[in-house]
Amino acid sequence: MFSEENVQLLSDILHQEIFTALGETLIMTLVPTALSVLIGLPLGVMLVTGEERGIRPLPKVLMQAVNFVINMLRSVPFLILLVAAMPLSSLIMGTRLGVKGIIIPLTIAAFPFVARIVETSIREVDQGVVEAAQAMGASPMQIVTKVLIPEARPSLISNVTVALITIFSYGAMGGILGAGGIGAIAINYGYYRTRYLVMWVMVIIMVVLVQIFQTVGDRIAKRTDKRIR
Amino acid sequence: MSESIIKIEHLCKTFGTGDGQVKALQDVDLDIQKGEIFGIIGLSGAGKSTLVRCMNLLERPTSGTVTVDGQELTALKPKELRAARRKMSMIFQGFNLLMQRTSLENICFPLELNGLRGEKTWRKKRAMELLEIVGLPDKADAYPVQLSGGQKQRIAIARALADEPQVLLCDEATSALDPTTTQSILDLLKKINREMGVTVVVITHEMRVVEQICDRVAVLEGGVVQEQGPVSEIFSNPRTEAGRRLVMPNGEKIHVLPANRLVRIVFNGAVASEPIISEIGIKLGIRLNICAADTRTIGDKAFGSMVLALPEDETDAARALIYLREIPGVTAEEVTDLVQ
Repeated sequence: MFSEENVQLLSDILHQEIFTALGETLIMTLVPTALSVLIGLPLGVMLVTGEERGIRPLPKVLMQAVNFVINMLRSVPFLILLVAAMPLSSLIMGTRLGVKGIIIPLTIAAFPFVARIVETSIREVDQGVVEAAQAMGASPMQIVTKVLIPEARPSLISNVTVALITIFSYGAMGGILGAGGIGAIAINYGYYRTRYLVMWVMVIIMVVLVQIFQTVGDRIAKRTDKRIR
Repeated sequence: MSESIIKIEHLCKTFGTGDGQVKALQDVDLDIQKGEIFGIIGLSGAGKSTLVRCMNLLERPTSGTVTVDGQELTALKPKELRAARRKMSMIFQGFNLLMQRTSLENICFPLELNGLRGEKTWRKKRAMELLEIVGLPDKADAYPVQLSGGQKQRIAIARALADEPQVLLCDEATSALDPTTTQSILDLLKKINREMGVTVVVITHEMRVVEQICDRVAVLEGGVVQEQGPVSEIFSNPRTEAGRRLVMPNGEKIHVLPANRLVRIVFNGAVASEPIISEIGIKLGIRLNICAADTRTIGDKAFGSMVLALPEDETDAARALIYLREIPGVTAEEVTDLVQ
């Protein structure tokens, strides 16, 4: 594993490809996370407010349909979803490969998950506070934007951190099917060409990145939580 | 003379259906006057919280009407209802402050909801005024977690008053507080009522709260209003079992010989100084045993109450009862449900 050839290869990678790969990994993680939140946040809120006893009940059929779609998307294994979403990706992004090619599949895989965790966070908001806002004449929209989301903010940030890390690891998996980033280096060199040294170093870089994501997420969540003295 | 602000007619509220059905409120009629402090008292499960939540339609009545300031809430569309709710505000046992906002921002909250209520600087100025009124100007930037229970309730009161409501609904607002803090919150509510003319509706299980600040009271039990009237009247002459249970000294059962009949007498401050019991002893030669005694201040008047054991001899008992009933300013009635 530590042969001169392997060490040389690693050194080459660390000097050249790694920077592009790091950038790709960040884009592959952050963009789908942002898109998933964009779709998942309203959806997750709706799952709570649209209930029969919610602040803005929606038709039962609609709620059942939304729940079904979310559960269905969440039950499909990511690699299958990735392949299935490729035509859509080439339609929207113009390609099935590389960083551009994986953004749509990652978003489709992640937004149902984000919707569920948003739902959990929103349910944690004290019902009494919602009631107080209703008693003051707040509209459902005002309750969402001024009560539910701000009060759930720390929990939402923690949960989005979880989603971000999940998307990060899905993205690495995407290396198998031609996506870019550090995951691709690990798979292409390490797995396909049995350069295990390169693979392990890439894995270590990913471990460090996850640690950083989690620490930063925790810090922001804690700092924004005014319930902590 | 006075004007009705909240009128409730034939209000019924039923939860659930079929076998699990619970009749929380049954044919409730109330007429709350502008500017008064109205108490609704009852034990837990009596339906009092449901009743107050029906007043702003947080809970929609199964049948009956709720009219606030001439507007029948039960007939309004959602948007109109939201506008109507701004005329009322509510404080809660659990305070229900926004935990992620400072005191000042909490007080600004109802003003933000009402788009017509001016600029941010104006809102802040108004919130500061209210912090002055509730006595916490130095807590403007404190978050709820940094405040004590009493302080939280003061902030909640300030928030409730921000949009200049006509009615303040208090749902067990002092039940989570210690006696001293309760006292200060009650004083504050009274001040708000007197100085700002806000009608206050107080929901409580504590007679003490009603005695201290309410003008009139309704006694609720089993979802039914058992009796209602001026507090001093209910206190001195409760006409129903439910009323009696609430006004009895400490509400405790009294141990006496089974043969004894009990009489509860209530006298106002004017006759409290007269030695009634000794006089019965001297004039009628009847000895009465004092089982319990208590004095309370209701509104601005002092009231005393006693539970006496009548002599076993039937004629003596009757004579004593007649004598007691003839003293002006004293009410006397037999009670049966205190004996254990």
